[in-house]
Amino acid sequence: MVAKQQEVVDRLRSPDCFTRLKAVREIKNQIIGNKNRKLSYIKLEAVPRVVELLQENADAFLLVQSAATVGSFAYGLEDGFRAVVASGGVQHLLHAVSSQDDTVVEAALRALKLVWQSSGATPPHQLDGLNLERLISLLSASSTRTSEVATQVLAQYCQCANMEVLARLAQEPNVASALMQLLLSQNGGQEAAVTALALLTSSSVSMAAQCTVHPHWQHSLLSLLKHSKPAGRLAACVCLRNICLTPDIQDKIGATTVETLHRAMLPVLLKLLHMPNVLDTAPQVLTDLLQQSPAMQKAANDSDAVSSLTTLLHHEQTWHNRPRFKDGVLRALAILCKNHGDARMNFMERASIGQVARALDDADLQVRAAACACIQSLSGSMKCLRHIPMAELMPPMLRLLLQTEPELQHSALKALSNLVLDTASAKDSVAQSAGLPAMVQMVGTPDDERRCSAMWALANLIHGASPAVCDAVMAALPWSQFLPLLQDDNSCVQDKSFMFMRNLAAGRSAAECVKQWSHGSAVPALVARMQKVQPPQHILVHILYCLSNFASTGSEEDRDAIASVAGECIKAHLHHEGVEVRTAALWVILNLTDGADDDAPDRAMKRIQQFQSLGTEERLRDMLQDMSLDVRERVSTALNNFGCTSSDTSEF
Amino acid sequence: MARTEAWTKKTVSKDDWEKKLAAVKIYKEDMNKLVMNFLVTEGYVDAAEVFHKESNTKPGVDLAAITDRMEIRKAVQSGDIQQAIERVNDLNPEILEQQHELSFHMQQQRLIELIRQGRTEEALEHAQEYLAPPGEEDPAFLEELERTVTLLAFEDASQSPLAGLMDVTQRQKTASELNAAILSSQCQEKEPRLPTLLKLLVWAQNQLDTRCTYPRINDLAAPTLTDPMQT
Repeated sequence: MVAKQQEVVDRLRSPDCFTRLKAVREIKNQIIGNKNRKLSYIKLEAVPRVVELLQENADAFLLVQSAATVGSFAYGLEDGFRAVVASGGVQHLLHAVSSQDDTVVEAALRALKLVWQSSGATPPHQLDGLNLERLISLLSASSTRTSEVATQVLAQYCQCANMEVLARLAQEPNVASALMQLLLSQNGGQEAAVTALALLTSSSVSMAAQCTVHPHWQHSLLSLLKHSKPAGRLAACVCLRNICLTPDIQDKIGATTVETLHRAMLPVLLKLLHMPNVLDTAPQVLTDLLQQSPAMQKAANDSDAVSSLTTLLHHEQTWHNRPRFKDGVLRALAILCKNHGDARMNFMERASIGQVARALDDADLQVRAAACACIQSLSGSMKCLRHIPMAELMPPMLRLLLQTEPELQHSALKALSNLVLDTASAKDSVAQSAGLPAMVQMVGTPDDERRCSAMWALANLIHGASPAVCDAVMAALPWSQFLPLLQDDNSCVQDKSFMFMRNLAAGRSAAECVKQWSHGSAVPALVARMQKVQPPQHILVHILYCLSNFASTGSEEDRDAIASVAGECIKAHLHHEGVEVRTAALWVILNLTDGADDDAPDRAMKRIQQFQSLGTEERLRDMLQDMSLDVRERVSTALNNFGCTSSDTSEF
Repeated sequence: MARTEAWTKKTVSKDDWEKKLAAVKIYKEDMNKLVMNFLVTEGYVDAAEVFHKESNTKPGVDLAAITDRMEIRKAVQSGDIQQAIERVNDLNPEILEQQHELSFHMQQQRLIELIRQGRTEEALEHAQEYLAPPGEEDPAFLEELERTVTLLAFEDASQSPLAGLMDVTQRQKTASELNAAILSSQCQEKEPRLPTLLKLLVWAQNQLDTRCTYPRINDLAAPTLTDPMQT
């Protein structure tokens, strides 16, 4: 057998053209679809000899057969691919593409397609200059077969090119128009054209914009949403997504048309996700679509997208070894559940939380981040929070918080911030783990957003927390580290810091605990902030409620101290235009002037006199006409504290 | 039950039925396209050319490619598998390169033809070279290889339990598989649309039978309406 094959290889160098033609055709027909035969001939050094035939100014028949043989050697066999590249086969095929003979061009193109299909991630030869120009011109060849194969070659090249190469290719003139024109064809060129467009528009915004110059672009791409092959339908969705992401698309075609395109894509994408062998990037297209508009999120929820996506999560075979697919599905769920209560409850009813909890420990970083985003969305509602199994979720969440990747840590922090708000077990888990010091550490990060998220998480942690949790937090976050946050340059950090104080102050023995924690500096710091520059209303409200809570839980000395340093300021805020501020100020006064404690009615009276000397009583009387019922009720109680009888108070 | 059906089933007379059918608009261009689709998919090149001239209906495909496909199909149907392989590789080398199952079945058919011709040694050599390697990689292929090679154990393979492999229907099966692959590579449908429409007609009639009595088409080849009053 080997001898016979050697004899055929020897004939490749025959002086007679017909003999050479017969030999190469024989080799071609033996090796197509047969790895063993390819290997045999490669060992006999047939590849360089066949490539030599491509270099000749040979007749068309010989070139056609040689090109096909070279392509076959390269396909499906690494040794063959390397032998073809090493012999310069690719360059000669590219040269043959410039032939005047259509059959030679077609054969060379088919061979190139096979070569690039075998090349994996790296094309063996960059397409540029005249070669690229020639290939692009062949997209519009008069022969439909040539045009079809040229498009398939271009699509194959795009599939193994990196983003940089794609971006350069996207800048070539006439590529967009030629490919858009091919979308209208009814042959294999159509699928290849939309595949190439999907890749090129993903790498270049200007390419996506160029597609809209074609007169029938919408009709062409919408028709392709019904392509017989899932890959074609997905490529059409990718093109439409990319076009809808171009900066001025809404000005060009109107918001209504953009929404129409989105709505056309949605059911196609939801079905595609369940197709076997659909590309891993398919869920990302859905995620991008949902991120673009609340209307799409609603439409997706109306189409029961959550059920469809959670079904995928439940079937491991759909995402096993496909981290990008899983990541995309989780992100889509995160978006759908973020602002839609029905979607959250649907998700919980489908018992999918376990899948997400397991994804928190996934080997892939993006999958973990996506799972985290999912938890953040689900935990955004109190109703949903109650159904979340904390015992299952807290350990992996805390592990994520301790990971070094900053984005992932931040994502975990935001999710934990929701989880700890209303659940004692979650609070205990954080307080008793390394999660608490990690949160405190993040409070000191230079990044404003992370600092704010960390402070928010601590504020939620302390809200309604047990004394043990409060003690743990105060031990982890010393006053000296906390105080500067009350004057942080970032308004969000400030707001959350004051929220933290307010929540801390709401605890049963808060006044004493906070006094110890702050070495007696808390009240003066709050009052100083109130007096310095008129703080924003929401911060003012936090400060006043802090004082109110300290007054409520503190000792008589504490109340005297508050009345003494803050009395004038508090009275001034009775005039504030914001009803929340006026209400909060009233609460401070109520807690400072409440004489129900029989042990110290005199001290309460003394504080009342202090307020009266500031003209507070007159102001309170004026406030009996306040617009807010809540304010009027508080005023009435306050006036009672001041010792005014019911006859002194106006009817309201 | 028959009495109940007679009471609940509606009857539509032939006249009424014909009036309803007359109200349905069917365009000649659509019918022409269906006919052309049938001729082109089934490979009737000459008929397609004449029909194109007479009706001005575009074939939608390269008629030369149809000729190639028909020659290839004929080669398989006549048992000249080598010729078929060479022609299909000339037409489009990607077909057998990328479709392993088809490639295996072509080589399997070649083996069957060698056995049919009594060329036992060549058959064994062929099996070893072309069928054993894929058989090693895929258990399904191995099973088919074993079945085919078993033919060699019988003096008269056509009388053996595996006689089906020797029958012309096996050639037809291989020819159809190859034909479908060529059509697919040319982005054409694997079957003409006309059979699908006829299947739809039969299905619709079966559904309608449960609901009413009406003029049926019982013979698709001679589609006259039967009169429901006479049945």
